[in-house]
Amino acid sequence: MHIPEGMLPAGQAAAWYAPAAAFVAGGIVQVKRRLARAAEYKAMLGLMAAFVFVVSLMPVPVPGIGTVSHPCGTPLAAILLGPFAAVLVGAVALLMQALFFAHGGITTWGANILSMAVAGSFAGYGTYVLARRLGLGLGAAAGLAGFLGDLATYGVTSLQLALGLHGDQSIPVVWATAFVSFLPTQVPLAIAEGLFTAGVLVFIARQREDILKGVELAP
Amino acid sequence: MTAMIRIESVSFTYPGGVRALDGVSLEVPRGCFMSLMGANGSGKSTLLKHINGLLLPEAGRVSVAGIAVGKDSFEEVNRRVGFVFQDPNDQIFAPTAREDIGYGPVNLGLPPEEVERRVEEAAAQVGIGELLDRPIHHLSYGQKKRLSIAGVLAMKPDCLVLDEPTASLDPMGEHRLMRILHGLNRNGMTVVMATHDVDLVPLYSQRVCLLRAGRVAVEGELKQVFADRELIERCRLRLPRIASLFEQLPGITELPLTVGMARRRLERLMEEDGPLLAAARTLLETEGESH
Amino acid sequence: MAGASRRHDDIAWGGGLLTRIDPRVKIAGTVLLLAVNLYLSSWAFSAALAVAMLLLMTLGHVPYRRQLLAVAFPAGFTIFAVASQALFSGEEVIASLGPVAIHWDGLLAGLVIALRILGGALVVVVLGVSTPMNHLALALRWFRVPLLFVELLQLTYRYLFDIYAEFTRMREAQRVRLGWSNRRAGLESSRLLGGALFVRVYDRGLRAGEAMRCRGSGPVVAGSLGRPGRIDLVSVALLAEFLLIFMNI
Repeated sequence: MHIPEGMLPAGQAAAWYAPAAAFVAGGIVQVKRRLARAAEYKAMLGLMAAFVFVVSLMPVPVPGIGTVSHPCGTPLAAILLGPFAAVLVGAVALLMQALFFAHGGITTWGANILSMAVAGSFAGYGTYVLARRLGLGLGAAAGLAGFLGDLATYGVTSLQLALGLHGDQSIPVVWATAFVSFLPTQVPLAIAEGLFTAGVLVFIARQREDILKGVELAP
Repeated sequence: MTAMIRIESVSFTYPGGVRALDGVSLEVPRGCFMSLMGANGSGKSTLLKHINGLLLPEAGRVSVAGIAVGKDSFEEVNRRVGFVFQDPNDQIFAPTAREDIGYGPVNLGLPPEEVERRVEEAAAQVGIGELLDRPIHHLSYGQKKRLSIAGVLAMKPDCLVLDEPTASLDPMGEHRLMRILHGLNRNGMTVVMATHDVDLVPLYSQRVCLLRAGRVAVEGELKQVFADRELIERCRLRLPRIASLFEQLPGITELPLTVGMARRRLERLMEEDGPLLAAARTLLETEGESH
Repeated sequence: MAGASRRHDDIAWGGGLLTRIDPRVKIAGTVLLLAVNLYLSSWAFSAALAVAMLLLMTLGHVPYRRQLLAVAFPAGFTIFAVASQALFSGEEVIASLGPVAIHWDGLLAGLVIALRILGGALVVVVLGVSTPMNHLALALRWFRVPLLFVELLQLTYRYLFDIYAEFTRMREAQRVRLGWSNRRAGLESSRLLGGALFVRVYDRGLRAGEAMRCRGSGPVVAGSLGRPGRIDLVSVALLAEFLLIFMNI
């Protein structure tokens, strides 16, 4: 759900930048702390950002309806890298997508960082940590994280659109309308994201437990 | 012999504007072992990808076992063509060898027992039966290479298409791999392989096709193709080492291409007692006297 | 899609007329034009912007298909913008079905947003097809964007093409073993592909990190921008001229 350039009015576009910048700054501070111990970590982050970018181009079949969708990859990145680093990686990927395909935009970059990088990462990461504490298995926790991370992204995007485009109607009504009317297509997409996140994580755990031990990756 | 693979005036241009194939026509007879040779960038890999429909020609036609290669026949064609990628790491993605070999048969919709049977059989064919339950990252490069071949053999294809199968293998690994391919070929498998290893090709190929800048420079039986040294060098290849050695000896026509051929030739020369051997003998005798 | 990006990016590296403009001028100009585009929110300015950008790309020999492709992505959102305004905004009802009504003035407001998206997206495309990543990185540093962020941008760009090529080869290898021939196989294959790709990217990250450490782990943004030349003066003058004319119509 990349909001394109020019879609949001000036004031709102600027307003979304502020919280987005705060989260990105948080990411920079966290990553810098890690870099002070191991400077080569930035190569790993660059590769991870490229990975998230490529994954977002991968067609994943959507269960139930006859289409494919492209996963956001941010819930997965947040589980593997930690939510703040995932925000940073997401912000880089979003800027490149805007420049390469006009997918997203410059003035809407802030809004998109907030919906995809921030909401996707934190909802995904929070769900994962909570689910694990509640005793869920790796696959179930990751699946839930992907599912809710995707829905959170969608919720924020539709709020942003409602705020920008509500016209004379009240905002909650437009938000609810937008959210509910796209729900039939968004829920299967979120399920696809959940299956994908769980599948990849279980794969990594089975093949390369060392990676998931987490010490190297999560801050 | 009927044609297993038929390529008719195929041209292909990459999106960047590079014309990789320019009117290529080629026929591979059923049961043949053919080497597709050419320098880097001559179009070998591009041509191979046309055989199983990974790339579709912008002009011309390709058919495999009588099936026209196209968007709709992709599955049908790939049941018959076992395509082996150059880097086995690209082809292997499952956590263990067993699961990776089973990937194709499962996609064919076979029942679990049949999948298991095929996995065991394919693993035995390439000699990795005892490695089936090892994780992939414990395998050597040569073992991965053989695993990647087992992965396509398990789908029981009619022909194998291999892109630079011996690249990055050590000499023993290379030898072992070629023995496997040779064995498969003797049991009726059509084999097409892209390579630029001129020393290896003559040992196994029946036919050779030389590509140059996206065109077929020459195609024919092994000896016939290697007879034209000039053409071979124009294609940025060279004669086999053993042939170069014989080329430097006086009075030799029709160069031997393999060590075996060279040995037979030497034996014949000795029997004939030609000028070459006479000279060598004189040399040895004078040497003996001086001691 | 990444195929498109590669060619998109190739145009930037092609060194055409637009590439030679100083990236600082291009970035500042982009931000200024986008801000005015939003702030004015007038159909005339956005339309003029779109026409100007198309002209600029034609002058810069950017293929038409590339220009259009970049506009295609926002199409769904554009339709949504027009529809939502026509439904949610305005008073003059032109058609109604029960509680749902389409408003004439809302429709016009929606078309303004559509033009805003068109003009704005084209400005971003011009920046994309005219600015190689290393120019962009240096200019961003000049604008005091945090070093870590710019470094990440550079590193990501560097690895993107390799990883995409790897991804493509692995996906082809799955396709030829019929891994994408039906939905269930596709779901299983996407899981395997994502996992295997991640493991590979991770290992490469470790190796790249080691290699980096061997050579001193310095910043990966290096080099300097040349002095602005005549072409930059002309660009700035044209930009000012454009704003003067079209901001007031």
